[in-house]
Amino acid sequence: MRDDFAEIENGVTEPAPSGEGISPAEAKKKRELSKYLGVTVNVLQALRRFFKKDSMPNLVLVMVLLTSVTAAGLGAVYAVTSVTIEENDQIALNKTLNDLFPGQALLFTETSEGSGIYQGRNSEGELVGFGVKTLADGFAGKGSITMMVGIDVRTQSVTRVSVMKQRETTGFSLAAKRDPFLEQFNGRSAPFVIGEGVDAIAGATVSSEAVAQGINNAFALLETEGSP
Amino acid sequence: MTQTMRQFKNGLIDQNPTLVLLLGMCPTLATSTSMTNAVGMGLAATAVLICSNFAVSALRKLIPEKIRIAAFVVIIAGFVTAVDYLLQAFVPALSESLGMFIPLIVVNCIILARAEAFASKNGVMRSALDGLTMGMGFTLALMTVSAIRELLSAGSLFGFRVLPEAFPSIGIMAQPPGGFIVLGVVIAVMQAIRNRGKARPAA
Repeated sequence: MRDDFAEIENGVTEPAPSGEGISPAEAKKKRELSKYLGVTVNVLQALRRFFKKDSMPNLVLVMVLLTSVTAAGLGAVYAVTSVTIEENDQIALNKTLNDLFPGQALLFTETSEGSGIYQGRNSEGELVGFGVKTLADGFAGKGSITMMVGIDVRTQSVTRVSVMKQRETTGFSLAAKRDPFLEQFNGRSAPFVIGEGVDAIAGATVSSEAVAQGINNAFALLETEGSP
Repeated sequence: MTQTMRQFKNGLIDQNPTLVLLLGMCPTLATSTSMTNAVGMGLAATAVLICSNFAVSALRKLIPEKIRIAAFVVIIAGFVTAVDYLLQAFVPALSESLGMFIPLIVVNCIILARAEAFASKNGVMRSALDGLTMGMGFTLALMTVSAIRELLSAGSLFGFRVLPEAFPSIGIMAQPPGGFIVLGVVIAVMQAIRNRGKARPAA
């Protein structure tokens, strides 16, 4: 780089070979050009020093580029998949809700955005029951069990309980998802107390109590917010 | 033996990431409760391994030494998140059952180890092949452990009943202690196979 620069300078300062004389105007133009070229070369060299492989600016530049490209790529993947993911969630939610009222084809609508209370109406538009989503505090901590409780409007009793998501201890408390325990609640009304008409799962008392409490909460929630 | 053959042998046996290098123990113990989970986890990790090895190898000359680990983690995290979205969209049931362990592939030491030890020093195609063979080694190890655990704890494979109902189920096999026990036994068997025919060192 330095050499190029020197050459350009020399080319200008050296007297022109005889016979092919350069007019003063041309020489001036050339000098100016060489000045600009010299500045450019200097700037480039400074930049190169600045962005040497292990220099701080280069480290920052590489990380910024890498993260930007990654983020752009992820944005593209998200754009493609998010629609399907939302659809899946909706399908799963509808299946859970419909399973609460076996044998009836109901149409569910949430009472208000984020309330977790879903009104189930039959084909005549008549309100049949509610699906109430509640969190229960299980063995794995606050809100570790997410469940949906089906409540019949006429009898004010549980139609079915479905555990949607839980992070209780694998093996033991997973049994709370199995039917025999959950079926005890069917056709009955809150409040439920473990040990008084409801049996806990052996080895998973905390999880069982959490499920019972969660169902009680669902009834309470429906009473305060969900009245049609 | 060609280099390709050697790479396969390394990934599956000699340098099996799980059973010989003992990397990635956490996902191995956690997701080997059933065959379905094991295959899902294995394939997800393999996909990430191939992609991240490819990308790391392609960028190896551009990434400065000082920030290579951070750069690797960004690359890996990008692919893992993409795989997570794709699973949620197209295999929601598997995504649900693997849960937290998909995002945790980011810190799976097999992937970082291969990026650092292999992909940052080798060509793009070799590195992608390394991702494939190492991923297969991980998947096969997971499947072996999970087959034993699922058979003994539930009498089934891939959720289908294999053993007769009369066969007693051993509940502990589905839980972490069972995982440790089975993993230990599988590692021991693997070592015995690898050492077969080798002379014992003089006492």
